[in-house]
Amino acid sequence: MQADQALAALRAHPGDSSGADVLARAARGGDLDAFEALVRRYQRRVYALAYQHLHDPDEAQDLAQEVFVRLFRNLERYDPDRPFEPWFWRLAANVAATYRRQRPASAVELPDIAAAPAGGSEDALPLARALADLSDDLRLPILLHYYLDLPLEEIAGAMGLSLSAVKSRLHRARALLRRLLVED
Amino acid sequence: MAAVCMHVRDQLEALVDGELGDERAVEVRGHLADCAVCRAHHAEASSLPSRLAAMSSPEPSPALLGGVLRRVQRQRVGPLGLFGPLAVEVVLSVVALWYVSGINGLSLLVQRTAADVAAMAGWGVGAGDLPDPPAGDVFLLLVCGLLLVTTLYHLSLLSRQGPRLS
Repeated sequence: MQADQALAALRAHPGDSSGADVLARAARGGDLDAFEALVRRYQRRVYALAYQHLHDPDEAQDLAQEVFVRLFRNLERYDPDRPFEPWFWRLAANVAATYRRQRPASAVELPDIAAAPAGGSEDALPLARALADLSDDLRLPILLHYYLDLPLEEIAGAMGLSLSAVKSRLHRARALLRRLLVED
Repeated sequence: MAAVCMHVRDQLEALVDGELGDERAVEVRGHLADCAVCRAHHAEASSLPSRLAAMSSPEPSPALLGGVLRRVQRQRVGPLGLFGPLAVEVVLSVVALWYVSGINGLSLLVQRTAADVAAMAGWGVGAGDLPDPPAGDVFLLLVCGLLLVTTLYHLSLLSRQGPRLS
């Protein structure tokens, strides 16, 4: 019943984050269909975040899976009175940061940039390389804001930072990227 | 690099975001008109947000959803797996209670436990012989140990359940 309502809400408002709230509440109550719908809804964005974070399709797949498994395990901690997305992206950012820290050093230093998808612009590779050179605490806000288009307030909530700290990190990250790209 | 160039480049992101004051923005733009290298930095700074937004990623494999659901399903434990340890815990608790009920009073139980512990400690520091506690006490210790292990395992099962699945 909950799943039907959630899926109907999702079909009615596919881009509406309130649809995700309904699904998350149903999944939290034990509805596996609602959880599956949540995975379907976010898998592209989570995979894209993982791919840009790791630049390795296989590892990105593994990280994306880990994000959703952690989502499942932690659903009981989700407060249904609050919006789902900031909570979810906070979890995803934490899992992404932890995952990268736990990778072997060689994997961190040699991202599979050559595996960049076809169809990207000519300057995609230098940008991907520059992005890979950033530390996690600078790369993740960049990816969340410019790539996934999350508002600054949501990123602040997701990363447990103040709004001014997020802005400062974005400026620093962009300045570093710019220098790396100009000097490339 | 001239100090003025360094100072201007530190402010390029704020300029792009419209966060520089009017006066300072005019000064920075004036410098950009004269300095080709800083102009190149400004062009890069201006295009960066849109280039970041336009980065392409491959599509996730169709196996992603299946993999997630398989891993989630593996974490599910059936009713027997979930409540089976409860039966073991009940049996062990009954055995322990039955044994303890044979001891005349809680104070005697505490005294005997303390005496056993003291004797073991004395043996450990070489102040006495290896104690020879009654077989029943060893049996009780074993039962309590098993009860503890079973309970910890059971708690770990329960904590891994996440949301209740229909």
